[in-house]
Amino acid sequence: MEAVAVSITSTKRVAFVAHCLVNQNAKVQEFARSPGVVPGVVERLRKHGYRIQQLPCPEMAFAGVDRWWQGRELYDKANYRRHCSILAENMAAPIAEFYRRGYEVALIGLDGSPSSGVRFTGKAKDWGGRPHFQDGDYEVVEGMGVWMEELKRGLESRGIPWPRASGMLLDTTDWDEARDLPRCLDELEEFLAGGGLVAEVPDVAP
Amino acid sequence: MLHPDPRAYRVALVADAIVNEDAAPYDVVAFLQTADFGMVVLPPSDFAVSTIASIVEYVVDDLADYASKGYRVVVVASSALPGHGVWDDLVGPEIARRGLSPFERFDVDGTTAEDLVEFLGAVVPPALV
Repeated sequence: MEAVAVSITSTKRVAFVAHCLVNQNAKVQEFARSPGVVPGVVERLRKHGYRIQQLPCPEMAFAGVDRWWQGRELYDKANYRRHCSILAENMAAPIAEFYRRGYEVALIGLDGSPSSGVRFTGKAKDWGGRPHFQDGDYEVVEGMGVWMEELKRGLESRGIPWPRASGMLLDTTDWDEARDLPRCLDELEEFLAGGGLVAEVPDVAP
Repeated sequence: MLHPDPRAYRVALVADAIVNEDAAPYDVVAFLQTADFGMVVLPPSDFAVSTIASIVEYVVDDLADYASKGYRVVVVASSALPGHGVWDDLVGPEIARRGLSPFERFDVDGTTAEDLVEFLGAVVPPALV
């Protein structure tokens, strides 16, 4: 590979991305789509002048890298929401700081995820108890994942606006990279071109 | 198995200024991608400690979990940056508090892209041995 200098557009944009979009090692087993970074994501963020900031993976932080699959129903529990709420409190400060510095702020979730979906989340009403999987168990439906709900609630409760947000739909059970990744990247490109949200926020989040 | 899982069991904690600015003389992110590393990026070094101290704790938890499961965990930093760009003054004590050995480390300052490529390819993750 050619050793080129970093070339990053200097517009004041920042994207908070779902952890696994740049670190597929955080995915639950069998749901990683690429070895490390999802191909094309960094390039598109840079092309549109976004700094890359990374959200935590709440599932990884809650149950570790060797966790088993769960649908939204299994994560939609008080203790997991409390855990996400703490992570949201942690992320409020850096998100607010970027707003204060005049950045356009965007957020890219992982659509289809029970935790990190922005436009779509994943339900699996029959999952629970002894792990097993059958085709059709995991259903991608409109709506936010539990982590994104708690992050949105955590920001707004502190007077910090929810960034302009979308997601990449990688969490599907019939994923086909050749078929699906180009569409995901086209959607990402279209979203990024629209910029982020600019807002004034309090100096000290309440 | 539902899907083959292509993860490479390689994780790099990378300085924000290396990912988002020109703190390295070459494009570290491109080489990390080629070497199949996933990235963990902390907030910029010039943010107030109060904005990131709580984030560091769970980041180190994650890195420790990876290491315990045979993932290769490395740090790509720069001695020209405050805290080497990776908040060493916070991350170091969190690693020590868990009784862990420091992670493998690469300093981009004064190095070439070839040095980085050699470092990234030098060790096979224990999980893949």
